[in-house]
Amino acid sequence: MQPIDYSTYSLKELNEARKTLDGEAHPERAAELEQWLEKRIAEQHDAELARRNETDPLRKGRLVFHGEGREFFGIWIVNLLLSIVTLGIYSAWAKVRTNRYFYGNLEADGHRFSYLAEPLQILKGRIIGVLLFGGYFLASYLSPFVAAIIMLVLVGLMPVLICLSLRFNLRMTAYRNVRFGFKGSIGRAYLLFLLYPILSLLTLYLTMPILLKKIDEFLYGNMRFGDRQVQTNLRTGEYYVAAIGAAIIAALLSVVIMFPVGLLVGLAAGGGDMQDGSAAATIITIAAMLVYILMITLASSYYQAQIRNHLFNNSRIDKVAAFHSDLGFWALAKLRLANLFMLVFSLGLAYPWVKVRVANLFATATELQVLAEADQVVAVHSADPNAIAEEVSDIFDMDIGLT
Amino acid sequence: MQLYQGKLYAPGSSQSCEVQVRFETGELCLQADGVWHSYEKSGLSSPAALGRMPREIRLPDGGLLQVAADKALNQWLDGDGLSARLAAMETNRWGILASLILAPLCLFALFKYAIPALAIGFAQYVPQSYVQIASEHTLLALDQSLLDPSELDAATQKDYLDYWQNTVTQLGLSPASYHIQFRHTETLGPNAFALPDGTIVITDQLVTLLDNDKEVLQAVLLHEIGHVEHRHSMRLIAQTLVSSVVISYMFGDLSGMADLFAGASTTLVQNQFSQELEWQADDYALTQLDKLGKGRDSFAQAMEKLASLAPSSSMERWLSSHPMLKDRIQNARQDAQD
Repeated sequence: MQPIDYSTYSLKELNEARKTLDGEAHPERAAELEQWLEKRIAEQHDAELARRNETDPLRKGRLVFHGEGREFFGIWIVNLLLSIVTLGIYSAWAKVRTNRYFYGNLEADGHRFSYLAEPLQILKGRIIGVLLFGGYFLASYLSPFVAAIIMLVLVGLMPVLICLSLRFNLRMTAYRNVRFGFKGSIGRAYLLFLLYPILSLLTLYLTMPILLKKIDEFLYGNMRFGDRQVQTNLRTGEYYVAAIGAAIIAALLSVVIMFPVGLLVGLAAGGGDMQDGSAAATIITIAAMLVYILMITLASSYYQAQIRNHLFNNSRIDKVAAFHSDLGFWALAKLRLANLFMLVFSLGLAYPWVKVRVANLFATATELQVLAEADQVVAVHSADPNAIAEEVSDIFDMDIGLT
Repeated sequence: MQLYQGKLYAPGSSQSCEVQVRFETGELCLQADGVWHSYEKSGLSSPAALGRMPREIRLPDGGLLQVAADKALNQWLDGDGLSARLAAMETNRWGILASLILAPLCLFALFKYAIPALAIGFAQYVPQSYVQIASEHTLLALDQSLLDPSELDAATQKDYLDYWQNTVTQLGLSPASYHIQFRHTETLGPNAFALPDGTIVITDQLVTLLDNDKEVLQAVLLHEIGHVEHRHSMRLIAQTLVSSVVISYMFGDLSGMADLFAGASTTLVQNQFSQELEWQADDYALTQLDKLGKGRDSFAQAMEKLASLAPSSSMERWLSSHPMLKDRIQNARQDAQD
């Protein structure tokens, strides 16, 4: 009898062959067939497992923030004093300690984040930042024309600063001893942060949500964890829903609250003399400020919660991690308003608690799903960028993160 | 010595395993997969303790060891160095209390004394050419935007200028360094301002408001000269620059509504600086009026005219760059009685 090459047989064909084979007549062939069958079944099982592992999380759990307001208060106030008495030099150390506290107390899947920047890197960036800012400031008083030229140059450099700053901050962030990174191209940044905003202005900002979506794709889709890239799958519609929702909230609030307040104050002023008139003006100024704060807080919280949830729910690191976020609009707005009141009435001393409360809310709203290859991420080495770009953009207030 | 439980992160990858660690004199020993490895203490690095956070110890091969912190471990890692002592202050009750008292005091002293003193020093060293160019360009920019040529006829202008030359000479100031420019404006209203090089711009609207009274206008001009003589423009630039850098560092890492907070405090601080300079200019004007043998009343009259324009509210004490007119009038009148 001719030997049969079973290696080309599928599992189904092997099963057929085994059924039709007389085991007692051909024991060697039966044994060979059984072996092949076992092999095929094991292969199929492995493939099944692998397929499941890529999508099904091994574990999932919410992020935990271990920081405490009281503990951070001590760190903050001591660092504040040291920063003041060293005329700002120690502020670079203070910044590193603050970031280390907030990164190092954030835990995901039993591992904590790390902040790796060195104070001297930050200090160098801060000195250059202050020099640039001071130079711009003095030049702007020397001549409005020189100031306009410098401003144009800075606006022209903004996309570069954004990219360098993102790269620095992500490179200085690590998780499980693997650094993050940013691979966005500066050319793309010029389109997104300079050209498209001008075009969007021409469409009366109606295309703004599209731009915001593209910016988020740029910011998060170019993010790396070691050798793995973050993948995003964002939808423009969600950005329109968030933007329109925020606009409706702002419009409703200004009509529902501002109108009656204005009317009341107007009536009160109409009945009184001159003295009351100025008192009424004061009241209406304060009322307008409060309504403005309420309006901005509610509208921006709605937008931020919507977009953050959408962003996390549609981003993943292939085979390593998937995310879920259920940040509530009202929870965020309530926290922000409470924080503002805490800050104002404590004359700023509540700042540490404010920061801790925010970190807590964002951590508990986030779920990490650990996928099969979470242990196999490889670190990518490259030269340390310096902190200059980040500090320069800090002092010119060009931090553009929306979530 | 005590056995610690730790987590060892492999160099260059996201793998990790549980390890047991001993901290001996001069070396760290850790057991992974049943084998003990030892590392010399001098090859390790670890940033100073921070709250109750686990300690991160960087191994020479790039691996990362994470161990729950305790007193003995902090002492072993940090020793008695400067950064360790500063870190210890953060958890020490007396360190925190002292900072809580000293930080606001130092901030107050910084804004109240250090920054103004620094600004006065800075103003002395600004080169005249900077002042010249800054003044010319500012006037040019204003002429392009807010100011139009004066509608006063030449004779009236000359009348004022002659009177002014006379005043300046009487006070022993150089007539060449103070020149008046008349401008018409719809947007600025009745106003007068001095550029740092001594050019003083008066709007037609102010001349009208003061009923063409030369003596009252003179009081206003003396106030503007006060700004120039004390180099207020340069002081304000330096104060604004330094205080906005300080505030942006204090509130720099806050986002959202807290920006508003930072913006508001910058405005408040700036206004307090500015008001102080206005008082100094007022005092200069009043002293010069005394020198000229004119009554201080002309200054009070000018302020009253300005006060008649708009009702003021008590909020202005904080929201305005100038002191309240009510207070300035009182100041002029009160001193006159002394």
